[in-house]
Amino acid sequence: MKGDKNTVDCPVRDVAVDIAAPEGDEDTGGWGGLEFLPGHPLIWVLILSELVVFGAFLLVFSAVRIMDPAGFAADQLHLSPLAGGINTIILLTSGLCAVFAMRAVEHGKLLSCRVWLGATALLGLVFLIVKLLEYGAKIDAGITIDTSTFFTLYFLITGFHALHVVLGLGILCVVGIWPSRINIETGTAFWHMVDLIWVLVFPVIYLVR
Amino acid sequence: MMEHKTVSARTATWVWGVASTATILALAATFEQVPGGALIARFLPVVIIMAVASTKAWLILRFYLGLRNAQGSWTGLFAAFLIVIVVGVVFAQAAIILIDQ
Amino acid sequence: MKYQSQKVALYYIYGALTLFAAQIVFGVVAGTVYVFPNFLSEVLPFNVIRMIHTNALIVWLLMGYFGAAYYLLPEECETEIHSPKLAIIQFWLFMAAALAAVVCYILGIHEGREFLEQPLPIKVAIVVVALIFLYNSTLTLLKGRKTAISNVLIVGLWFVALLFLFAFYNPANLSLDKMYWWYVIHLWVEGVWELIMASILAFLMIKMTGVDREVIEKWLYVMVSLSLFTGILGTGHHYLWIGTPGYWQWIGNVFSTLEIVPFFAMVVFCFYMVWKGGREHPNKAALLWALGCSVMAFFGAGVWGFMHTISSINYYSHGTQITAAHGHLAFYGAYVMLNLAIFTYALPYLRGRAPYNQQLNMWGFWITTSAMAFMTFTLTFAGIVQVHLQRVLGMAYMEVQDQIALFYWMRLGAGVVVLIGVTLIIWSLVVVPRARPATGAVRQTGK
Repeated sequence: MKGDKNTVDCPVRDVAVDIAAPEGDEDTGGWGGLEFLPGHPLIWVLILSELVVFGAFLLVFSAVRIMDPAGFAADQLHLSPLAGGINTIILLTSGLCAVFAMRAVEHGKLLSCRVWLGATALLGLVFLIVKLLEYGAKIDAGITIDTSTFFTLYFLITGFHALHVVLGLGILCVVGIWPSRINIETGTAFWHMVDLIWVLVFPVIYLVR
Repeated sequence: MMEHKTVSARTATWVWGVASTATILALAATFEQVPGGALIARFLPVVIIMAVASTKAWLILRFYLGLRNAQGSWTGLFAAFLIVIVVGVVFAQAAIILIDQ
Repeated sequence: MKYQSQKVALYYIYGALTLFAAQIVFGVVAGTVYVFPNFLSEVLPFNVIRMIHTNALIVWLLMGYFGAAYYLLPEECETEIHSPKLAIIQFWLFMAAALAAVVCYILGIHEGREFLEQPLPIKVAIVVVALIFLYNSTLTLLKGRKTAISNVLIVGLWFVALLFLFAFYNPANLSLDKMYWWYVIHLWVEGVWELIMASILAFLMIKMTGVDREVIEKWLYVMVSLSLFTGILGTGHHYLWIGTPGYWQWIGNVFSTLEIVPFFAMVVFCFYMVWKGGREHPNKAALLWALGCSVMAFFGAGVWGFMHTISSINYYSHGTQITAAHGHLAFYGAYVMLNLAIFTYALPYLRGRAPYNQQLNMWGFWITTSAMAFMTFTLTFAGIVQVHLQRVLGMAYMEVQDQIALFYWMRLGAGVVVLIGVTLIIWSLVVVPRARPATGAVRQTGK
């Protein structure tokens, strides 16, 4: 086919090969600004998406509450703000450990980094256990996802969040195995996002009445 | 992907201390709530709770997620996100109280 | 065209265009039945006409993807296709299966499950076709250069094949039946097909704008992440009224609302790349199709989908002409235009010619796109009237159909114009004018 290649074809193809974004251009990274945030830019696509989804869920929760404030208040009495509060502090502490892990890898201390990551993950595990105890108490009380709109949203929002904790644990394990700076930065960014979301979910669902 | 400077251990610990204390305060504020009380008694705790929540979120964003190194437009975007949530929740509370009246 | 084996794409493109023509003809016939209810009722009942209309669409789109893959894989991987012969066998098997399906439908042999009506042996044949393709394309990919575009495209096509396996599982329980049915239908068009769409658009942008591959690949990753993030759980918007648990309402509302985001990203991507590239590619028609694809997909799939995705709205609108409006513009904007973009781009290279019939092709673009937009509006208005009369006032279904007859006439009109536009498009793609003297080609380069 090379023989009858048309004269028109060549310049076009050359264009495709020749043009490259010049170095030092503001668009060097080509991530549209995401490259200025810590960690791999794609983790920020995920973080932003997650924030939008959880934000939407929290707004939906608040909007639906307007329709039935009494029902929501009654259902909310079944929740344990104390358990939620303890979980908040657990996640905050876990986040602190993640920061220490990041600092360790910055200084090239891999062992220390792994130890801090382990502490981060361990606290994440404790969070999940508290969460499961909470769910267990609900189920023992005969409360399920279908009991009421409040509990549908409660289980959905906290359940999605708990799934992210599980996913976060997996990510922490992976970056712990390959603890390069960028990996740790990316993994801990995800973990802080999980932390951030809980800090918003907890007051809206457990405290506001 | 640029090199970012992680916060110092001291700052990180401070952030943790402030956020944890705020959590305990918010919990206390909840238990103080009197159902069916005066207007302000039903509205104020929600404002406090959400103020505490957004402060904690802001601390996490700035110091743990490293947003304090990012450009202003990013800071603005995340601030807008928090404002939308806080305003939404507070507005819902106001609507509930008004409908009740 | 750099690689000899890219030529096999020609089979797929011509096959796809043939079925495209059939699809549109049957569409017009179906539109006629809406205004003359007894039209062909003895020979070809409406359900069969509709089956051929929708099945031909899906098969030709898939055929187009296969063709696109066989065209772009060698260029991306910088190697010949593993086995061009196998690709040709795959084509004929696929075409035979498609024709056999049509014959079966006309004879009244089908499984009755919307879009998956193919009798079992034909479903098996489709799986064999998919296996041949996956074998051939994956080996090509493995032996050559791996780029983001080829990886995303092949991952997308792998999942197209894997998800099709749910077509074989048809539980007796109607709710379960529908639940698995959407695993195929939704996760195709609002999931993995978007991967195929993003990767083909990215390929076209690299070739036609001259923007650096690195930049385009980053966009590709972002678009793909957004598609999967929103699209997979977006399945919930089909689980509103089929007997699945109530929490799907919330999941469906939130995630499917966000499904508009990846489509918006694709619009920004295409226009930004063209602006950034700032080069005039000689194949203006292909660029027009690519840009048009992103815009019409945003409106058809994104905006029109969003209009009735919230459950409190969908409660009234589901199964009305609003759904039909969305379906028509979404398929046209996202996947028909995508295929036409890559066909328009690839055919001149495949046939060793300078871009030809550009004006005719672009006329086809504007006529077809305008007519599809008009059809979408008429069906939307028909749907709004239908919702009000039928779902709000509680009028009987057939009574309402009489009330919206005018819209069906306008839809038929739009359909006829689409047929004319499509004829122009196919003509412009297939009928190559006699080669000009070499000087003509040189002069073209200069402009």
